[in-house]
Amino acid sequence: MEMINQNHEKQSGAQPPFLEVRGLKKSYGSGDTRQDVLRGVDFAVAKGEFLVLLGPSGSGKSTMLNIIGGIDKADAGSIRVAGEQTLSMNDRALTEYRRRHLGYVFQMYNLIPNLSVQENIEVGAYLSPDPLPMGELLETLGLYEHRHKFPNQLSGGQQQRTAIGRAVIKNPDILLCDEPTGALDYKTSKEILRLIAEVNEKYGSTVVMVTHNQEIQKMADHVIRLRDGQIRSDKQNEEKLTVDELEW
Amino acid sequence: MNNTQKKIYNPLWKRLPREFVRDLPKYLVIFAFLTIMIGFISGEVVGGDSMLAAYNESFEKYKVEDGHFELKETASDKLLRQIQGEHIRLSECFRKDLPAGIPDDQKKWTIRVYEKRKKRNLECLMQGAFPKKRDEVALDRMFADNNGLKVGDPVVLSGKKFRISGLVALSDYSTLFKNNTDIMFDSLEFGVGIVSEKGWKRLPKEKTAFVYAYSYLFPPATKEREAEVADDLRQALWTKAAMDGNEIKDFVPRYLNQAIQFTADDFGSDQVMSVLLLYILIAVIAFIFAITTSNTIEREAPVIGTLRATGYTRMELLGHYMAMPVTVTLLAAILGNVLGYTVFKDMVAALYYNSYSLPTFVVRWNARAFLMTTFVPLILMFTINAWIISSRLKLSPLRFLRRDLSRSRKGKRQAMDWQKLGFFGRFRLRIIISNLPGYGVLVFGLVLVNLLLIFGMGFPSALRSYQSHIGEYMLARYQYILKNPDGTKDKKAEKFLLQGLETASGVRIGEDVSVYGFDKTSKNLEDYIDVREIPQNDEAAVLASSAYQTKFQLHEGDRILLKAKYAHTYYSFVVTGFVDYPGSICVFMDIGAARRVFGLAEDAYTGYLSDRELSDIKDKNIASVVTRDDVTAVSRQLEHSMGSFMDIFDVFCVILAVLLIFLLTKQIIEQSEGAISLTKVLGYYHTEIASLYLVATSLVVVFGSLVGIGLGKCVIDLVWRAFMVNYNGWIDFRMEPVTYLRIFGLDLLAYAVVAGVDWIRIRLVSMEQALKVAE
Repeated sequence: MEMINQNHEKQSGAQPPFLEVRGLKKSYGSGDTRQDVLRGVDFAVAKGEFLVLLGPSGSGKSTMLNIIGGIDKADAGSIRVAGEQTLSMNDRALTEYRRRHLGYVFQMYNLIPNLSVQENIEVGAYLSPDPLPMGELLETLGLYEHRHKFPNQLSGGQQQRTAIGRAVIKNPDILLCDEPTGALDYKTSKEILRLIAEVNEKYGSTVVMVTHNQEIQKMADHVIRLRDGQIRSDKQNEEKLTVDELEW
Repeated sequence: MNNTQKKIYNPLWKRLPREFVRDLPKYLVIFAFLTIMIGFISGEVVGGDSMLAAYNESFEKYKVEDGHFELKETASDKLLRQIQGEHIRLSECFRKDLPAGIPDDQKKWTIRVYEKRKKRNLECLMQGAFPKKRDEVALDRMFADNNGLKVGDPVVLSGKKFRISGLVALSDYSTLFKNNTDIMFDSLEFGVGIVSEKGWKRLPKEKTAFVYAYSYLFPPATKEREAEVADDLRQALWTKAAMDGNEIKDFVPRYLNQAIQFTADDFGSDQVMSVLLLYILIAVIAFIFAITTSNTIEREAPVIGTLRATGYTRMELLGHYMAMPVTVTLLAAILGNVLGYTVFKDMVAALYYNSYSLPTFVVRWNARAFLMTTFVPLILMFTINAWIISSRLKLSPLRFLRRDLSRSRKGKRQAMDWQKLGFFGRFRLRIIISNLPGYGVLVFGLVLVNLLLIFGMGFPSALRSYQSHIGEYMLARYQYILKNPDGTKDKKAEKFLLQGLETASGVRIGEDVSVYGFDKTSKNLEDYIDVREIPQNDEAAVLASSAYQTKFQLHEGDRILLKAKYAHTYYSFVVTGFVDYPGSICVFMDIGAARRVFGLAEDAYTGYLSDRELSDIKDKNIASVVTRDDVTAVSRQLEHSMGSFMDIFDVFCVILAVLLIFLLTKQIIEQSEGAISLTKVLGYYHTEIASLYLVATSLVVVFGSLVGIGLGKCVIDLVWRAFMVNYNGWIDFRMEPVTYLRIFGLDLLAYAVVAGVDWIRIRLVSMEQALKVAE
């Protein structure tokens, strides 16, 4: 925990954190069945940073991501994104917050089966007053050739790329990725990670990625390890590896 | 960023045409059904209102009377002058009720013949020409149609041969009521027609009824005022005719004339029923759409979760999921209205022309029809879908992502011990419970279908039952009403006293009530009617007929207030019991007491009951003879007017049943595809799987059908009562038992058709489906 504060102070000295989490608590159930999922979590993320939330199953990392994404509620604490308190927002304001600031990528691609690749990406573009150029993004995603295909005509990797395109096209401030490679093979996983890194660099989106894959932390700027709802370590990577250098 | 990019429209809309193509059979069936329903109702309202407008205009165009009265003899000049002093203008509308037929059968019908009228109640020529020659007659178009008569055909009027020169609509006979007190008109056996002056002279003089039509010089401004003026006029006519040695036999102001007014009343009531039916069906289809969409939402839960997590609002998703039902309804309403104005209005006109004798009409634009058949269905579809779909979309994005869409918290679920049902039984119960909303709509739909079927099949069944029990509905095979006392040698003939009064209290004021006086001690009487309970010599005590009891919901000991028809004389009686006689609204009392109540002579009587024709009574003394034909006129006319409509209606109901069961079981099977596939993977036979799903649905169909028949009967009883209360008399709604079985059989038949399709559907579910769902 000491490291967290040092880290935060180091960043806040230069510029205010883009995402700031303070004293976050969350539990499910009540009485005997009560389960504390997050037990007072604090951390901060700078704009454009690539953060990896690492931890085993049940550590609270997905819950953390969902609360940041405004689709789950915390019991206590605060989250500040670009200077806005999200936990005090009502439902409508939260939807507006997600619309303006967030892109979401899940382990399951959740594409709309009767829309083509391009149309699925347009689903994201529709939400932004100033979306990224479609053609350029399709090229970046490696999907230009497949843009008229429907999800059931694509491989798992291509579907996940489409899902990333849907999240990225609105040029979100934060890209939230929940185990984006969880359902993919080694080679395809690397493709996806490469793409997320490229998005982070090219478009400057802050990336918060949840994974249980230890190796992936090496490509991040910032790594937080969670266990039993608490932060076990919070560190900046001095030396990032490229995706090609990762092995698992 | 590229600010020159064109605006991106919501790409979710692109799903709609693909969704439409994917589920083409479902949408086509719903679209076709909605279109036909809306088209028919639009046609009914447009055609009906256009005809009604023509009917309303006909009052002025054809100079329809404000009322008429009948004198015993032709009015003297002095009487005419005195009557016209009442601020009315009179015109002769003499008529002759004649036995009529074709050359081979000269006593088929009664035709009321007028000399072509020039001042009042003019005729509209529908086909052919007005009569000019002495042997020409123009007959009412509907009567001619009903009896297969055409221009040029020969007819015999009172033994004289005539040829039909044309078909007409008499402006004072839009419905063919023979007497204003009849429960129903009779366009099969009673017709009207006109002849030329020379033709009129050929017809027997003694049959002439001296009818005078009147019109107000200063028409009353309101209905209330018209009633007051008519009442004053009736009193004045009564007095003046009596002072002139004449007698008023009948007085009918226009607002009480069923032959003129019935059409307008019936037009409205038909439309109300049809529009109500449309709205109920739209509601059912809206529920089907909503349930189907709820299942789509369940299937697409993770996508919805992702969209919500990305920033899509509930309203955007609600709009998306509501687009299809609203679009289908809108398109069906547009096409339906086009068909309504073109095809269906002619069908509806044909239906009306089958019942009413109306002048020609032109179609008019009808804002009310548009409102009722487009705006209201859209609002209904919108509201029901918005209500159900928005409640489904209320869940948090996270619950959508986790596919956790159940509204009850898991902890609260009660584990029930259903071990006794066996595995298959429990499985079926689970299918029913997990598809409860869909099955709920199915039961609701079946209740509706059965309600309609009870109406469609029960109505003719009730009429058939009425006709087959007609013997019970008559006091005797012949009921002679006499103008003057006359004797008969037939010792089985039973004298009675009859007085016509009307109700002054109860559910309907002005209802005709016959007061019968019988000699309780007579031995003959028990052949005709059971009047053992008639209180002897009690002037205040009566027995009421079961028809009176049912219609006016009377109880023993109730006091009834009756009134003389054309005078302010009131009679109060206590009902001391009831007679099982459903034939008419009447009361029975001791003949001696009746004579005293009505101030008649000690031996006064007005007619005979007999099971044989009484040939020794002189014709001149007979006012009328009530026979089986008279009593069945109502049911025959109703059967004729509604018979063909009811057949179409029954087919429509069965199609609706098939449609409902098809759509709802389709979505139930689609929703269960994963489970069906998995059971296949586990090694269950197709027959076992089909039995699981089909038996579950069969149980619901049988349940819905039985509940529907039971509820339908209760509802139809209420509707029937509301319907009959507005008419003179009463007919019991007695459905033949076999009709209930037929309705149940039709439900099962409709289900059998769908079950066959479902059997194939279940067979087509592949084992790969289980893997897809697992993913």
